[in-house]
Amino acid sequence: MEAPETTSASLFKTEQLDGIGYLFGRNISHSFSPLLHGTVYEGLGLNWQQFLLDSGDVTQFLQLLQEPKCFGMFSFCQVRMVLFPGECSRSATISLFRASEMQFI
Amino acid sequence: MPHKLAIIPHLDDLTQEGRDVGAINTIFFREENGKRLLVGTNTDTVGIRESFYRNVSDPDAVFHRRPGMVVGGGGAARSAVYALQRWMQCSPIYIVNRDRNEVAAVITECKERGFREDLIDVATLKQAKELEGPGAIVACVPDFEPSSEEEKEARAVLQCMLDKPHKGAILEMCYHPSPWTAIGDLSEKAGWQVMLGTEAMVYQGFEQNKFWTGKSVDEMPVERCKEVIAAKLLESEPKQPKL
Repeated sequence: MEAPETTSASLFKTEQLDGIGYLFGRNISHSFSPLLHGTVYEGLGLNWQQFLLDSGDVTQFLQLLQEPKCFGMFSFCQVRMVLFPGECSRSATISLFRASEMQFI
Repeated sequence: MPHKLAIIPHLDDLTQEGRDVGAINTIFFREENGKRLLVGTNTDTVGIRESFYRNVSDPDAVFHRRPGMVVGGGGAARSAVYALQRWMQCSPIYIVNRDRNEVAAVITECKERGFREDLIDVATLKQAKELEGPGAIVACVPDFEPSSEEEKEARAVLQCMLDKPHKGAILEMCYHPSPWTAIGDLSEKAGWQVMLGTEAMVYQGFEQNKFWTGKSVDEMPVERCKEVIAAKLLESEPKQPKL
């Protein structure tokens, strides 16, 4: 049975925004990242916001990436890219490793 | 928790850093022929690099052409190895960690990825005493008091390096729950220049925004961001220095 499709509007208040970004990972509530990026967007005059997506659900984050307003995604550096041999960049596997005891960024 | 695998059907490209390190932390979009391509990159490497170059007034005197050192063994440690080798002219690179298997994994993977093969596992104090002191250190471990024998040995190795005649610069990546860590304290007392982890966080954030907004760092409110982050840091209570 497929899980219901996730939309940004179902998770956060995004209707009024022009751009939506995410910090994705577990135990990220202390991150300074939304504050930092919010300050950048304010300075640049962009109606953008970055949201914390405290989740290990890769399917969900992939769905959110597809939305036209999404400008990008960020995760603590635990998202390892493993390239299939012989396929330089076209298809790739992302493996999510166990979150280490601390989050740096 | 074993790692999960997810197939990304259209991660279309990687930047040089993403490709070289083999780990990405940022995804952005690029338009090509009317298509929206998904591109991955690693901005941790740049955050680490910029932390040093924006804060150390004389890199030639402090860390160029000297050994580098990484304390830790996770994703941040790999990014640190990359930055020290690729940009910061450090050689060899010492890896200091309580866990020998973790260090072996870092060294093996770096070798497989074509990094320069000058990584040294500094496992004991005895070994540390024989080695030339580093000029740049990146500490990527949580701020816990060493309790196991391996943790105490790793701490002794770090102290030995800090006490050597050459005083360099250390980037203390840990800022949670507080940026005032035991390692930062020990480093300062030993005469080293200490940069807080929020430096790396801020600079890797600007690098991300280059890809996300298309703007250069010069167009971004760099000073305002530093003020905001500094104010947020002051909300965490400085700990008493650990003895």
